[in-house]
Parts: sequence; structure tokens; C-alpha cells
Amino acid sequence: MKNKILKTLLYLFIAGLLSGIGVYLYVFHKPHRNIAMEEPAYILSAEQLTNDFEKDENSAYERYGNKTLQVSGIINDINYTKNTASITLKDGSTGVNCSFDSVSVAKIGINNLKILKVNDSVNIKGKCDGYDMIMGVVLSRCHLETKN
Amino acid sequence: MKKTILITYVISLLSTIGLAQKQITKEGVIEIFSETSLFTIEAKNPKVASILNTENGEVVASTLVRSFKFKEALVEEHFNENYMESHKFPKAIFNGQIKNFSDINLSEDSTYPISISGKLTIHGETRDILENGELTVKNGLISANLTFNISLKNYKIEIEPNYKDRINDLIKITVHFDYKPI
Repeated sequence: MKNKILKTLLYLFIAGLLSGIGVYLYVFHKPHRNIAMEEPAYILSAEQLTNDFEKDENSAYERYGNKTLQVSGIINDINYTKNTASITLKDGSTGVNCSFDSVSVAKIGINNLKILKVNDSVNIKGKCDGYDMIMGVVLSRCHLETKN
Repeated sequence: MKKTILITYVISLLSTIGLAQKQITKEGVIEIFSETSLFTIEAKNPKVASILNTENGEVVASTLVRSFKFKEALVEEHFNENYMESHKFPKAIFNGQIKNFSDINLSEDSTYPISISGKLTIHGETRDILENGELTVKNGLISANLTFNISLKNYKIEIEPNYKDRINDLIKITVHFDYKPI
């Protein structure tokens, strides 16, 4: 009888400990947003996104900043480093600068990025960091949705 | 009519010369580092843009605060929301000049010490800075390396009292730019 109570207590203790660890890990070591799995807040063309920022930077930042966007456009420039990539979508003066960190490159597969060429039409999903005079609109933690 | 064409021609010629005297990067890297006995914070921003005027040593550099990437998502969230307030101040900007630029021979491959001064804007606060770094010239291409500290207090970035032992007031900033001709 006493044994049974002790056993139940032990199980409860272990269950409590495990959920405690779970909560701790979730709160203090929660994973980064998984852009690939997120529904985009806006689906739009690179041209429209850049125009919105060039017209009124503050209101565009309020609307798009830190949101997941899916942007379609024509590739103007591609850069690779060891394990990251960056693709600029063409349109006018600045464009949309999409950065793929090592995690997203690993997810997509570097070979799937390396087959992309200038003038290809693509859909890219990423988190909007804002707008810069030189870089244009910056999207980070990007994911390649489709190549048309 | 002829005059208009001539003027247009001269202007376009001048602007090409102007462009040729600048080098640019859109893939500059800035790393930040803070260490106390309790907590180490580091982040990397691979999206820094900079233009260097190779005629007079003028430099502009700018980046978006949200492009700083941390290992821990929670730290990144706090960095943006509580400290840098990136919803209000999305950018960090530097505008300045390499003071001893005339000492640098761009046609000779070498590493030169530089002293750079200018205005740094972080968290909506603009301060004058004067820091030392290094410029490397290789085949006409310029790279810049700079390491310096900034004080959070100086830029009105507040740390709550119970986090004071986790976040150092002095943040180490490491800058690396590889410029290319425009």
C-alpha cells in the first residue's frame, strides 16, 4: 500500500519535472520562427513592395515590418558565400534583397538555389526587416517557394 | 540643341567618373558581443550596406536592426522589442570619413591602419565617434575591418536593474566590409 503511494508520487514527480523542463525549454529556448511553415501576411510583387516603401517608408514599415511576406519577382543578382545566399529581385532603383541564412540554405538545398539564374522568375517567402536606401527592401530567413 | 546634347554628354561623363570613384557593399557584416559572468550575448548581421568614396575617404554605412540574428529566438525578440525598439527605430546609420585616407595608396596591395570619424545613429540617438581600424587593399579592391565598443547608456538604451548583471553596458562591435567597384 505504502509502496503504491510512493510509486504514484514518484511518477507525479517525474511528470512534473518533465513538463517543467518542457516549459523552460519552450520559454527560454523557443525556436526561431519557421518562415517556411508560416502563412504569409501579404502576397505581393517585388515591384509593389518596393513602391510602397519608396512612397511612404514609415507606413510601409508599420504594415510589413517583421511580417512574413511572399514576394514574386525576377532575379537581378545572386550571391553565394560558403553556406548562405542572397538574391535580389529586380525592379527599378533598389529592389528586394532576400537573404538565405545557413539554416534556410540547408533546408532548401544549396543545389536547388544554385540552379537559379538571373532573369528567372521566383516566389520567395521571408521576414521583412525593413527598407534601406542602398539595399532596398530586406527580407531575411528566406524560403524559396517556387521557381516559375 | 547642340548645346543641350553637349551638356547632357558632359553631365553623363561626369557622373560615370563619379561612379567609378566609389566602392560599394551590400553584404557587409557587423557582429555584436556582450559578456558578463552570467550571460554572453552575440549576434551577427550579414546585411550591412556601405559606400566608400575612394576619392576622399567618405563612408556611409547603414543596416536594419531586425537583420541582427541571434542564436536564441527569445534574446532576438528582447533585443528588438525592449532594447533597440526596432518598431520605432528600424535603422542604424553611420556617416563619416576616413581621416588619413590620403596616406593610403590604392594601387599598392597592403594593409593600412585607418582612423575613422563620423556620426553614428543607433536607437534614434546620434553620437560622434572616432575609432581606429584597418583597410586592406588587394588588386584594387578594398576591405575594411573595425572593432570598437559602444556604451548602451550613451545611446539611451536602458537595461532593467535586474538584468544589469547579464548585459554589459559596453557592447563590442566588429565590422567587416568587402567593397566592390560600383
